[in-house]
Amino acid sequence: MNFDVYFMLSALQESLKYTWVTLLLAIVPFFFGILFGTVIAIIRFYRVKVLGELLQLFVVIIKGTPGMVMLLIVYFALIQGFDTISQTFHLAVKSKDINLIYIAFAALTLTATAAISETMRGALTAVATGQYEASYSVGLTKRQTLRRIILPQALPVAIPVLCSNLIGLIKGSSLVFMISVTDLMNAALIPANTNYKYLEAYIAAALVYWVLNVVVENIFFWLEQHLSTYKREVLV
Amino acid sequence: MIKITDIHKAFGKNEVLKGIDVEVAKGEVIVIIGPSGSGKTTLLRCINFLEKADSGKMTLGSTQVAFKHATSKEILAIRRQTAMVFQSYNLFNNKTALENVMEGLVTARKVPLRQAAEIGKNMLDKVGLADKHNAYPSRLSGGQQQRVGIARALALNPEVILFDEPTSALDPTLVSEVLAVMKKIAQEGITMIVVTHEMSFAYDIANRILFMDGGVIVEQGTPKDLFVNAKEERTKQFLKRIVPEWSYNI
Ligand SMILES: Nc1ncnc2c1ncn2[C@@H]1O[C@H](COP(=O)(O)OP(=O)(O)OP(=O)(O)O)[C@@H](O)[C@H]1O
Ligand SMILES: [Mg+2]
Repeated sequence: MNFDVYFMLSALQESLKYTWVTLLLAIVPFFFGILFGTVIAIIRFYRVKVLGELLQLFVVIIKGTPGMVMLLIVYFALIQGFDTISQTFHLAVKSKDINLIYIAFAALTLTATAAISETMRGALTAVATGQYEASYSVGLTKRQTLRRIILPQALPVAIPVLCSNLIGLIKGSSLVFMISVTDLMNAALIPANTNYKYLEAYIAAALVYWVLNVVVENIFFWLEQHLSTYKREVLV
Repeated sequence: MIKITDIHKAFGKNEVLKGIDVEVAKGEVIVIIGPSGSGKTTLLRCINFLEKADSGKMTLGSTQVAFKHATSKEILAIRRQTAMVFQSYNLFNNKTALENVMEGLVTARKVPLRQAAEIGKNMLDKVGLADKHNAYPSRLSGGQQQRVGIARALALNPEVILFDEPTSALDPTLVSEVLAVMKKIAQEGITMIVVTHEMSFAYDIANRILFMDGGVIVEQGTPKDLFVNAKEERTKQFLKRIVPEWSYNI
């Protein structure tokens, strides 16, 4: 076996050009996932009638759908739905004019929301009931209690899992080649399509993923330290 | 100033409060004693709606509520006229001692920050924690945490402070520092309802002692009335069990 280091380096170069796409594909769904996921977690945590149960169903369904299947369902649903609508209204835009990255955003956001809602729900249960009682006893409303006391304590608990969620999204975003979006992996593979040096291309892509993950891990480690200054340090 | 009439509370089939009447005058220090499971904690928790009583009425200052039908507005109004000191302190873990004391003032009552900080510092100084303003609860001893808890309650300047066994989670060596603070504020004319098993402390600070058993108030009176001249057999039995020496020493 001869490993073409030079080709790998050039694939790496291609990968790096598209790393921002991968980052975007992870960070945008992560951001919206935190937003929607936290809301879902709170609603389910407080056992809001009907809505809580509906959301539970939503989470179970999304969680049980493989990332690739989700991506393709959203892809076909949006494409077909869009064309039906644009036909009925005689619009000039067709589904093929949609930037496919939006479809990737939508699918990945669904996946991220379900996963992060579970992360946040777990973190909420980690806050002792005494914290609620003390808040109510000094006259805070439910909402003030959540915002001032509970969420700030739940967040540091959630951070390590959120980190895994984000890394999962970075890795999961590689599936967008299915709908022909060029991300860092796809960018590395394109030159290999002519010379079949796939091993070099995949290793190039893997190197970039590793670096990204190390960076993400470090950021979250710092965040965790920073957000839990109020805790007693554990001596190891 | 506080008047509670015919409060009932059951957990499932377990009837815990079976029609209790309590009246507390301004500045009065009431101590509630009684065996474990007699409903003391439940009574306190019903007063500030941490537990919802099944029936009964309460007047607190100018607020009147029927426990069962209290609206969330009424509940908030009651909570903003009461404060509670918990057995397990329940300080806000994510806030420093000073922030703990300021939280109710700033967030619930919209007191300006600077004024709240001043009140907070005064209260911490009063409970002997002048050097711990910026310490997080995780860095404080149990006794210090409980004193922050008391400062947090005091800062709200409530109509009444409810204490639920404030010293029973404490290391015996730390009990006295908390009791000393409580005694000090009792002498300042703060209205207090205290559940405690510290009998000599109860004897010392109470204007009136209520003896609860089986969800009712069996007997009440001044410390002397109760400890020396208890009329009810159940009270005598309880006191004999908890402080045998009282029977001879007073
Ligand atoms: N949340 C709850 N759910 C069900 N039962 C409860 C609950 N809280 C209290 N009880 C029951 O109510 C009864 C009275 O409890 P409470 O805590 O008021 O007693 P207490 O007088 O404070 O006792 P102690 O001196 O041990 O603190 C007990 O039988 C207890 O098991
Ligand atoms: Mg109790």
